[in-house]
Amino acid sequence: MILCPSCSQRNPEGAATCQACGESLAGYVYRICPSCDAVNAAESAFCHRCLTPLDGSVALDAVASEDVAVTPYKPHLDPPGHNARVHLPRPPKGAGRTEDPTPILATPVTHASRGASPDLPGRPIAGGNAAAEGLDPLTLARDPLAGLDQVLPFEEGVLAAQRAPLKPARAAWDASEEADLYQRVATEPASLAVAGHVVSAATVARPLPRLGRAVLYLLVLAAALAPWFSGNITGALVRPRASVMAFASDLSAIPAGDAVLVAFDYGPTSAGELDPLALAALQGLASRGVRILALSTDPAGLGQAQRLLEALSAGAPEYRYGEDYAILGFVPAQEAGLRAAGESLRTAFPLDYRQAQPLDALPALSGIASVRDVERVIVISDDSQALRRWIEQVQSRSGVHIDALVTAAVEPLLAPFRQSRQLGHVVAAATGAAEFRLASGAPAVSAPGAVDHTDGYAALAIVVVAVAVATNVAELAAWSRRIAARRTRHGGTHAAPRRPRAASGKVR
Amino acid sequence: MARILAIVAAIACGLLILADFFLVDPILDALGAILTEGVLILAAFALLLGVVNLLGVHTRMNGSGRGRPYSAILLVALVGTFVIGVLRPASEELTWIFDYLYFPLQATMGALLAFFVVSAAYRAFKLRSVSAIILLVSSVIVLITQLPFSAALSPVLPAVREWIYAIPVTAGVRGILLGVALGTIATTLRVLLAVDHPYA
Repeated sequence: MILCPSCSQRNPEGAATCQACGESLAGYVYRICPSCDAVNAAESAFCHRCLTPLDGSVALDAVASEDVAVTPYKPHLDPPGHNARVHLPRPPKGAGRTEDPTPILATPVTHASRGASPDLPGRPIAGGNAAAEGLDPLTLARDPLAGLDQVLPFEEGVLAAQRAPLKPARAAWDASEEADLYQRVATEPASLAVAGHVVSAATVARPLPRLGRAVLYLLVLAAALAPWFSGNITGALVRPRASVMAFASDLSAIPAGDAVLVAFDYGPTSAGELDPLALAALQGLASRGVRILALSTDPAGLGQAQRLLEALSAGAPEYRYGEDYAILGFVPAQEAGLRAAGESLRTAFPLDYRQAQPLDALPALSGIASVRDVERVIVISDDSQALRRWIEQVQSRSGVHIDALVTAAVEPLLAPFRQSRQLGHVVAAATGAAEFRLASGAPAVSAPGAVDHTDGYAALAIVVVAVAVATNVAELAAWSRRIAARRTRHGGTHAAPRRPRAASGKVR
Repeated sequence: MARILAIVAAIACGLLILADFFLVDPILDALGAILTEGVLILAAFALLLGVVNLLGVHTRMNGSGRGRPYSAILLVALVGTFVIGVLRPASEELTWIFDYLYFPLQATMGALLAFFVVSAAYRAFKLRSVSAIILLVSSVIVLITQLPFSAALSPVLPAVREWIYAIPVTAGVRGILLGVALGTIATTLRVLLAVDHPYA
C-alpha cells in the first residue's frame, strides 16, 4: 500500500501513479535518524521515535540492503532554507516505480552495533538478519514494538501522520455534519462539497443567473404565508387515501372505555407537520370515550403530549386527566426502556408525569398492566428508528397492533414493516390531518375560520418542483444556445461539442 | 481477573436476554426484567453524568471570552430548567419554558429546513446523468402525488405513488435492513463469544 503524498489516496503496492490524482509515485527518499536509525519521512524535522533533530542526517536515496524493502515516500515541495527536507526532481508523468533505476530500500540496523545501549546485547526482533535490537529498557517499556519498522514494511499511515499538519480529527458522519451541509447548501455562494464532489456555483447557477437565493427564499416565504391568503383552496380538493380511511375506520371501531397507548416520539421540530394529524386522531379517540395513555421515548415528546392533550381537554371539558387520559412519562434507554414499558407499565412508570401519583391511583389505568391490555398503540414519530424499536421490543413480544402517524419523509422507510404487517396503518402527516377528518366525517379544516396548513404544504411542494424543472429547462436552453453559437463560429461545419461533464460522470 | 469477571458477566447477561426473547419462562422473564431495570437506572445516571459534564465544560470556559456569554446562557437555562423540573415536574413554569422557549426555538430551526430544501432543489436536481434523471423524475412524481389535491388531479397519481413505495423503495429499505441485521448478528456473536469486549 502506497500513500499518495499529494492526496493521501491509498494505492496498491507497485503502483506507478496515484489512482486518485494521477500523481507519480516514483522517486522517493527516507531520512534515517542518526541516533536510532529509525526510518523517517524525508521532510521530517525530528525522528518519530526518539525526537532527535534530523538536520544534517543523510537522506537515503538508494541504499543497498539484504532483504528489507520499505515503501518509498515522495517528499512535498518545501520552503527554501529548511535543510531537513530533501528536494528531488519530479519524474515525468507516467514514470512508474519499476522504471526507477534506484529502488529505495531501508538499511537494516543493529541497535547494539550503533551503541544505543551498550550494556544490552543485541536483540533480534524478527527476520533473523534483518535487525537485532538492543533498545534501552525505557524505550522497550514505552513501545514494545519499537524496531519492528526495520523488519516490516513501513506503515504509510505513520508517515502521513508525521507530515500532515495538525488538524481536527474528522468524526464519522453525524447530525452535526448534516447540519453543516444544510447550512452550506443555503449560505455558501462559491462551492458546495458533497461527499467528495464539488458542486460549483459557476456551473450550477449559470443557467439561471438572475434566479438567486433571494428569489428562492421569497418563494418559500410566499408559500409559507399562502394559507393566510388562499382561503383553504386545497381543502376542498382533498380526497382521503385508502390507508387513511382504513385507519379512521379502525379507530372508530374501538369501543368506548377501551384504552389506546399513544407515543409522542417527536419534538417541536416536526410539530408543524405532525401536530394537526395527532390532534385530529386524539379528538377522534376522545369523542368516542376511548382512554388515552401517553408516553414518549423522546425527552421533548412529553411537552408535546401535554400541550396537545391539554388542547384536547380544553375543547372537551368532560374529558379529564386521570379519568380519561394520563401522561405516563418519558421512557429512557430506548430499546431497554421500551422493553420494560412493554412488559409492565407500572414498573417503567412508578408515578405519572403530571400529578406524580402512582398509576394505580388513576382510573384511566384501571385494568391496564402492560401493552397487551391496550386496544392498540399509536406511535407519532418523525424517526423511522423509533418505529423500528417499537416493533422489535414491543410488537414482536406482545403482538399488540401498532399504527404509525409519521412525517412524509419517514413514510417510505416504513413500507417493509407495513408489508410484513408488523405495522398496521401508516399515515403520513403532510396531508393526513385533512384526510383523517374527512374520513371521520368531519370537515377538512379543523375549525371554521381556522388556518389549515394544506395550502402551505401544497404551495411549497409546487415551489420545489417548479424550481427543479425550471433549473433544468434553463440549463438545456443555455446549452442549446452555446451549441448554436459554436456552430455559427465554425460556419456550421463543426460537429456539435459534447456537453461538458465531470470526469467521473458525477455532479461537479 | 476483573476483566475475566466482566467478560463472563457480559456474556451471561447477553445470553440471558437473548434466551428471554425465544423462550417463555417465568424465571427468565423475571431475570430479564431485572436486567432491563438495571439498564434504565444506568441510563438515568448516564443522563445525570452528561449534565454534570456539560456543567463542567461550560464552567471551565477560559478562552478569549467570545463564548462566555453563550455558556452563561446555557448554564442559566440548564440549571433553571433542571431545578424546576425536579422540584415541580409538569408545573406551569415548566410548561411555560417548553411552550415559550423550547418549542419556538426548535420549531424555528425546523422551519428553516424549508429554505434549505428549496435551495438544494435548485442546486442539486441537475440532469447530468441517468441516475440524476431517475432521481429527479421520482422526486417530482412523489412530490406531486403528495399534494393534497393529487387524487383530484388524476386517479393514476396515488397508484403511481403506491407503486414507488411498494416496489423500489421497499426493496431498497429492505436491503438496508437486512444488511443492518446481518451486522447486528455479527456484532452480537463477537460480543457473546468474547471476541470483542468493549466493556472491559
